Amino acid sequence: MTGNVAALPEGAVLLHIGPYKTGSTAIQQALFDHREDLATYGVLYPGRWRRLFREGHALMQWSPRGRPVPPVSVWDDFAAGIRERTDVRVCLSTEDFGRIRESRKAHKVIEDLGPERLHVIAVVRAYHRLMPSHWQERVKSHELRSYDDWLHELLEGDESSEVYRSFWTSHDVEYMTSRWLDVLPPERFTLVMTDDSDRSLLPRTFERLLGLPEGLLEPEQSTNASLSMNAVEVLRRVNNEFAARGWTDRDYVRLIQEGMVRELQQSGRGEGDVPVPPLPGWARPLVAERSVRRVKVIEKLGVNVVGDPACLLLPDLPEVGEQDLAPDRISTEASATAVAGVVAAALRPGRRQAAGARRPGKSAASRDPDLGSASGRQLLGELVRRTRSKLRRRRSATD
Amino acid sequence: MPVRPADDADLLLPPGSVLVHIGPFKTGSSALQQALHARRSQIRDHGVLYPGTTYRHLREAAAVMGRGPRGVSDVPEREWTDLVDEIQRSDAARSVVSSEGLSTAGRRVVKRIVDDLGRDRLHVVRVERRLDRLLPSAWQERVKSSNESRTYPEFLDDVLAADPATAEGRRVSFWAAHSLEKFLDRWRSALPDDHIHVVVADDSDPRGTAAVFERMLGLPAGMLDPTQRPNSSLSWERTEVCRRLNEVFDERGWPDKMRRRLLQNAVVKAFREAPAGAHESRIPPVTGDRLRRTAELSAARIHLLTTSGIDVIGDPEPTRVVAGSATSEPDAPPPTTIDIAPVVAALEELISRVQSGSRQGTPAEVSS
Repeated sequence: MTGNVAALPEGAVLLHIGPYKTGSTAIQQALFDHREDLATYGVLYPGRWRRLFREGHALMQWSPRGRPVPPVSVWDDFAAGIRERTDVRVCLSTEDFGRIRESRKAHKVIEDLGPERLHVIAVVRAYHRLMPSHWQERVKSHELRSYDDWLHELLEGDESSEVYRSFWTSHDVEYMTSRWLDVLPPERFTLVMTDDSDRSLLPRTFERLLGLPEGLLEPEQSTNASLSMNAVEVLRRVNNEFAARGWTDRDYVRLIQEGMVRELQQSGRGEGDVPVPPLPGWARPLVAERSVRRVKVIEKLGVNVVGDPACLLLPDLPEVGEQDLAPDRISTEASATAVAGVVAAALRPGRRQAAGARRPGKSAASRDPDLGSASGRQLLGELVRRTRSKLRRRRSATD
Repeated sequence: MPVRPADDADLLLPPGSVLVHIGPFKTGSSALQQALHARRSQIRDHGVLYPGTTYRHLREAAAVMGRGPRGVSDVPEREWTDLVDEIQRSDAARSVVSSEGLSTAGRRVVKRIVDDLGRDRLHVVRVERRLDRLLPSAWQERVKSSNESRTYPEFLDDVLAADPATAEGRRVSFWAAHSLEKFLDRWRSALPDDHIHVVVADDSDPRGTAAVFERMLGLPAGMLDPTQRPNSSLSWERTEVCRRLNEVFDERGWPDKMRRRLLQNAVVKAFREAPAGAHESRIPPVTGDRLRRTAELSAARIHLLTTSGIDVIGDPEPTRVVAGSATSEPDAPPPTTIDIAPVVAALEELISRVQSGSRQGTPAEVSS
């Protein structure tokens, strides 16, 4: 699948733009954990955190709710530093650039990082995997709508809806790539297709592009950090209460995101709790049609495609019942964990929410549930046969 | 003394009597205390003093015992002596002191209470409830307010394996309050038998115990209404969540003060108030071998009551636990799921207590 992926030229900048909920955290964590190894192979993964935070927020002139927006100079200074490092391949990653709406901002990124050396990579994840995951992520950040209501707005709404924009800006492949492709030639843009069935596809692709030995970026055994539908439902109702009572964003970050949600993620699903269901029956024809259109768009873009676009098509999915969409029960274990999470946060010594940069060091934030757990043995074999790495390898090829 | 019927015409205590009601927990004492508190001035008009201003004498009992409930700082002894002074100064015909905490008072404290209030005027009263109904209530209460982290079956097995007369230690501390043998031993050491009363609770008559108290104190029938207080018991599911939280508090070494404030006063409070969910169940009665053992203990209690010579008010026979229906079917396992609504209510109550803008300040600064 990655047979057509060749190493980028020496001195290239590889910019990974996510988007959100496409398995970025796992690859970012692997890159960050191995940044010293990367350096020995002539690859720079700069920054103090798993990914670019303040630099990206500075460029976007946006920051997560409850956190300050950094001045644009934070980006300019960072980009200037990258421009000087022509001696290495540079890899950068931030999902925030995957949801750029204004072309001028994408153009500025290209200009600032060097149009002659920049390569962009983004992941295209199948809608039936992406949508439950995206909704869950929103509920972890104030969302009040049920999954069903959210899907209605997503699939039947329009540009005037924030739900609609926030999803399609990143995941409408034509829209998302157009920000970049009106300046960047398509051969410098790579799209990786995934339906979560092969979690090694992304690390293998990065290794090849960056000229790294195969296996270096193997993600750590994934602890599934996604919440159960039952826990998400509790959280969603708590969100409603936060909104109704006008409790502060600061308390939301402290008590909910860094308290309740963190502990729920660390403890895993309780007995009897179920995952967020893929898609209710009514949504399937709509998603199926959009999936078909998406594949056609990808074929026409002329960018580098890694993986099989057919994996984006909607497969047969199990039935989804009322109770799956709006559970009215949760495990006693997860209930206690949710309460304990708030208590733990309340007992933590008070500290100021100084900067967005505080979060990424946290263990819960460094895991990602998105990549499937199936082994990529076949892919590995394929890679091993075809790879033409210029650098030394950890293991010898077996052909 | 023989067993007297609950409607005996001669229950009235002599003028000058001080009635000390020691519960124990889960025998309808809170309802009775609330009823006394609600009619404080009216019962005073009928010559009965319910001293102090709070609905029960929790702090005064802690003061005389020299130890308070977990999470409550020590109470100065003065709070007990103030209570004694108020009773001694009063011209009321009768006074009532009520605290379940006194059910665990040992001989030394009992002697102190008797000395302070007067051997001639002091009467102690304890309410006796069917043991198989008491056990689930007691476990629940321990989970809610005494850091209990054992599951219901674990608790039952510890309690039922013990001998109530000699049980010692935290795992069987149930018996410190509920052993009839211990009660008799402690109070007989300081009071004559006719000053020691046991009222047999009739679970089918929620006003029964209050009516006995009215007769003992000389109050008009119906003045003490124990049914005003909403039933505050929790479902098995909610109790199980609280139990698990006690485990978490233990595992993490979080302070008892916080447990009191965040768990007992917020989560439990919300659980009490949240409407019952569609899938919730009561803590089940004891069954099988546990029921057989409960029946043995129950028979021994009734025998002891009827032969002790103290004043037994109400026929104890209905409290006899019969093992005839004991089956060998396995006990229901503790519940693993709970309705979402009460969980959300508990989280909301908790968050409202700990949010930054809360007038109660940050948790670390707040004392209970």
